[in-house]
Amino acid sequence: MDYTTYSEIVKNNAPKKHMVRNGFLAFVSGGLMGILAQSLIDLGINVLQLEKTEAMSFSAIVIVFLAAVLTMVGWYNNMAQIVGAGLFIPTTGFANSMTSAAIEGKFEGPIFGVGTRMFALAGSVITYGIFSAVILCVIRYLLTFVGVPL
Amino acid sequence: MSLTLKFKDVYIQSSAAVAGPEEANGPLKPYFDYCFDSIYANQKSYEEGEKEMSKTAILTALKKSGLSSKDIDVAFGGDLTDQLAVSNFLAKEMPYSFIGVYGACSTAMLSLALAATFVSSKCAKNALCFSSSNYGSAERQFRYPTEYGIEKKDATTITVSGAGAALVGTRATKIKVVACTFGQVHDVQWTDVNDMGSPMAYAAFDTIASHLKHSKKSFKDYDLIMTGDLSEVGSKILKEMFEKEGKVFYNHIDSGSLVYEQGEKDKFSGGSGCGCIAITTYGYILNKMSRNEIKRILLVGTGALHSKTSVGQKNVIPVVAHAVELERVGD
Amino acid sequence: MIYLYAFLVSGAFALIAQIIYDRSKLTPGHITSMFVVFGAILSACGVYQYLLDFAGGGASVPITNFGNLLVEGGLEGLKEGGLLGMLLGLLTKCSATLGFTIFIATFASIVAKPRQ
Repeated sequence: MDYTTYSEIVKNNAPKKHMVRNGFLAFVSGGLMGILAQSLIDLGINVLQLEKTEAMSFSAIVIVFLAAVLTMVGWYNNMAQIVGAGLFIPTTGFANSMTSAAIEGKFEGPIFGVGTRMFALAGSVITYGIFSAVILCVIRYLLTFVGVPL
Repeated sequence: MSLTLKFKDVYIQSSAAVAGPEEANGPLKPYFDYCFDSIYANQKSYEEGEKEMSKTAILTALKKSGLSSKDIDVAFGGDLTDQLAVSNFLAKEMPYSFIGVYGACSTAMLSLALAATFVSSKCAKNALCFSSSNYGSAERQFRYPTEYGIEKKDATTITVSGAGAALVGTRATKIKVVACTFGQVHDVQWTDVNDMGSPMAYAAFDTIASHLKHSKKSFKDYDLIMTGDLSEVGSKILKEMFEKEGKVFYNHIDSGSLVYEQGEKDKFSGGSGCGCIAITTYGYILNKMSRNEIKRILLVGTGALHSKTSVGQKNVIPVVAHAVELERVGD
Repeated sequence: MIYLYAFLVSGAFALIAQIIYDRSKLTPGHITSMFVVFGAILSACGVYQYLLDFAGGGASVPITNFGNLLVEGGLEGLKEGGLLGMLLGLLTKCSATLGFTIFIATFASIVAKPRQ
């Protein structure tokens, strides 16, 4: 059978995408994560007497902890199947990618298994985050010479 | 042009199907020889678990045949792991020649076809064939850590944790291996690893068409034609491809849809992996055949021949399908 | 009100990511990397701080903030000690999250076994 006929048949049978439903679930769950993060910041400021930036770090750490625990007990990926980006965009996604990779890496031992595999998924976030940050800061540095203050 | 071979005096001496917990929860449980309650099979890693399942299948098949290791001339086997690590590891315990083969999810049929070829051509009196897959080891190999929170797309298939083994020989039994077609590898410009059923349907179409043509047969000559793991999507595509040629493919079934309960959300589009067609054939199909409930069947294993590196380098996914024809003889 | 804005901003980031995920072949790995860079750009333009003041946790929880923290640290270091100062300051703001994540992931690998 020629390729064109085959491609047409494939197109006709493509599984339905639930884009509206997925978008809605992602929006709501992402929004709830924002609320959780803000509550933790307020908890940090009001109860733990932290400064604003410290409270933000506190909020991030608690969220990382929650994501790691949910990953360890095996609930995280079931939740992620439902909410998609609502979990992979917040810090939870980062924490889960490292935790799940580390847990599975244990079969190959602490060095090649856990140590290197941990960064298999999250590595590119760190790499490109740092790479772009350096470039942007250098640009800002160069802009100071034309009168743009830091 | 795909090669079709007609066999002489080749029979299935015995077979065994070993499965994991998800498969044991499915509709084919009564047909499996043994089910493990964890994909670790009481071992330390997924890969060790897969070895254990495969080993159990081989030993069970051997026991059921009444033959001993000394009677086996050659073994053909494969799996999805890098460099066939699982099968090679088992092979080092085998006091007979071993030929490792990789056909991705078509490995079970590829190894069966090769075993039958050796027996038919009198190169071997008894040949063993086996293949396995494991959800954990396959996800690690091709996809992501099992606990990674990724939203799997609908056309995804779930790798079956299971192993199947069969002994093929010249001694007459009730199940005859009639013929096989070794498929050609095709390129349908496919790059989506989340849906492998769609491109494999093309390979299945070509191999089935070749086999029917060379055997001078048509759909009605078979009770059933079973594909390996085209998934719901691929199955629809396959049927439509034959419809476009004016043929109604009324007796098709896909082992990926048999192995798990239909419609279960966490099973997405059905089962896949070497173990899929292996346990369905060596457990369910052969059982039905020995009870004379199926007389003639064409089994079509389908495989997607990519690697993580090839996909990373944006290459297409080549696909293949190998077919084996079985017939119930005697009374 | 900040809770409402937190919901809307964090939800919006997730929604955009979900749309990209559903409509393209990009994986979450690609999308999060894009978002980090985007956050870094917004930070370098001086915009991210407004987002944080406006939406609080809604702007600090998405991965875009990681890019923001990197640039913030870099710029602070730049102010104090030029280019070398920039490199010294780069990881100062995000070290809490990064360090804790690596620690807890390693800890998890010791106590947990991947399930099926």
